[in-house]
Amino acid sequence: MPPTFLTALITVVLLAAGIWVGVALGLSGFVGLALVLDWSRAVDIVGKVLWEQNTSFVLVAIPMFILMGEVLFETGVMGPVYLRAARIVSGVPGGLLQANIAACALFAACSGSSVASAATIGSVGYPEIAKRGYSKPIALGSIAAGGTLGILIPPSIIFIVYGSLAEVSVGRLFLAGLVPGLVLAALYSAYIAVRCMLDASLAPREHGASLMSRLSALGGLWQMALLVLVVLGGIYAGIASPTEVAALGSTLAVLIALVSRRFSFAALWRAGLSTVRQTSMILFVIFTAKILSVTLIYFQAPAAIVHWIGAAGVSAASIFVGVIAIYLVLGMFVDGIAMMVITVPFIVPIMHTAGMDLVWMGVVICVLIEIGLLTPPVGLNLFVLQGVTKERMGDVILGSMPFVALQLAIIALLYWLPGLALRLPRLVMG
Amino acid sequence: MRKLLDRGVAAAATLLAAAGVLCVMALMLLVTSDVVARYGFNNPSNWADEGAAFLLIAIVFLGLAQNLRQGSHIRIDVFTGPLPTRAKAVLELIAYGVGVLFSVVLVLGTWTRFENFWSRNITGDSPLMTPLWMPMVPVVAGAAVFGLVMLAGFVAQLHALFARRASQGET
Repeated sequence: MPPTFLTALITVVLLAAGIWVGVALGLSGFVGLALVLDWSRAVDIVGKVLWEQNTSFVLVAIPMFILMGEVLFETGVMGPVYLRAARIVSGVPGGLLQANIAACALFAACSGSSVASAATIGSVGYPEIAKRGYSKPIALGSIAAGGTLGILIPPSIIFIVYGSLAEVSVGRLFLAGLVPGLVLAALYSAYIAVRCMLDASLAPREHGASLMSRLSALGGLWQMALLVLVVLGGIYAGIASPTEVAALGSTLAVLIALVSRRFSFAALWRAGLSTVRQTSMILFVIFTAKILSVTLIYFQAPAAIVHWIGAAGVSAASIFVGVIAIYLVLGMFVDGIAMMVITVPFIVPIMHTAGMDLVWMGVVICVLIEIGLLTPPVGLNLFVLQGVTKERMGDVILGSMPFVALQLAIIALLYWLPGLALRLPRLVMG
Repeated sequence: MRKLLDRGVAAAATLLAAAGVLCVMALMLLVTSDVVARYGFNNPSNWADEGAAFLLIAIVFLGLAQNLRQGSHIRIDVFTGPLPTRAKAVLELIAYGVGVLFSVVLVLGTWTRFENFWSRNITGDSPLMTPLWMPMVPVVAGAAVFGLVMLAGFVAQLHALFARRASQGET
């Protein structure tokens, strides 16, 4: 059996057998290397790849953005933010459901994780929503879907991982994700407003707060405004790199917790432990995926696939549809990061050959991963929200499905209007 | 013996994860202070980027073993989830066996790099000229404890399988 097929077979069998993704990718990559080189060269390459991959300054942004979100989460700084967002959007059809989207979008701009967003808003906002008699499915769906904004609105861990795998500028990806993220949040909000206007039983009518009350609530969001200013402003103004603003953001999150009198060393320690856990988990699969992709390069597999696609005369549109279909199916069963490390080394050369912009594709892949977070049986946000609210999983899934349709709509919009993602990075970075 | 191995690797994994938290805090302070020094005092350090990269690799490997113990590493269980309990137990044993094999590769790979840096006295590019074997110490330690946790998991799975078979034989 040719080594290429043997390596692919081992990878698929190990992944299907439930072996840890990092172990499966790393071991199959190693076996492939040992087949074409020899044992000692293969061991040497493993050591070299892990050193070069894990000492990349760009990837330092991952633990720093995770820490920023975790500090905000563990110290409870986000709690009052939800109530203030609710006051600002009060009177808009949908009431607290609109607050879910607004608070999730705000949290997304201060955290790179969708799970942290869904867990925070779910634990802070849902008890109040349940008390006031909102329809459960749409309430749960708005939080689960709102949480996914965390990976599209920068800063985003998914963009950093994609940038590292596809060798695309992370700053450019952050810029590209902003407008589609805000448009998606607006689509969620419009959907909630229309549904609630058509069916008044979905949401009780909340009385609009006075202008003064709204202004005071807006003033109470100074912490978030400061973080957004430092993180997004720093990148967009070209003052600092994503890694540097990530570190500044995490330090600022600690200072905000201190000023808000919510800081404790126990919370900081928990945030640190969670950061170590997530960083190690993410970078372990990136590093082992790199071993496999080095092996594939030895086999000249990406070049062979590109050649085959070119010879078959497959159009760019067909490739795009194919990628979407693959991600939709994989997203039902596989974690977003794992999905990306397994597919991006193959997809990127194909996209590149088909003349697709890799930054634009990164945004599309990010939305597809968002869809994966909401589609059963392995939609992570569904489980997180069900765990936090203790509601029926059926209600969480039912409520999330219309938002999945909106996510597909934004992909269609990105296809027809690529400038939605690409205009801002071109404007700022040339 | 098995319990001793379990306790030993649990303690080592917890200790490494705690060291990882300290590295996270150091990373935050290092990069922040560098940015402040650059923009506030026009005095950037020329070693902060390198130091940050060394801390990153340490965080990754210091967290590996604890993640394995706590079930935080990503797995695809969509095919194995519906299987009967016994089949799952056998697959889990195989998973740990494969994990032990990969750990051997990982330890050898990291050790080879460490030895290469040590024997050739290779240093970093920054003016600090940090000997590169130093940042490799937590990497080798993390890979080794990861391997030990895999081994402890393998032994525990094997023990559980034999214990189940013995109890079935008695009934």
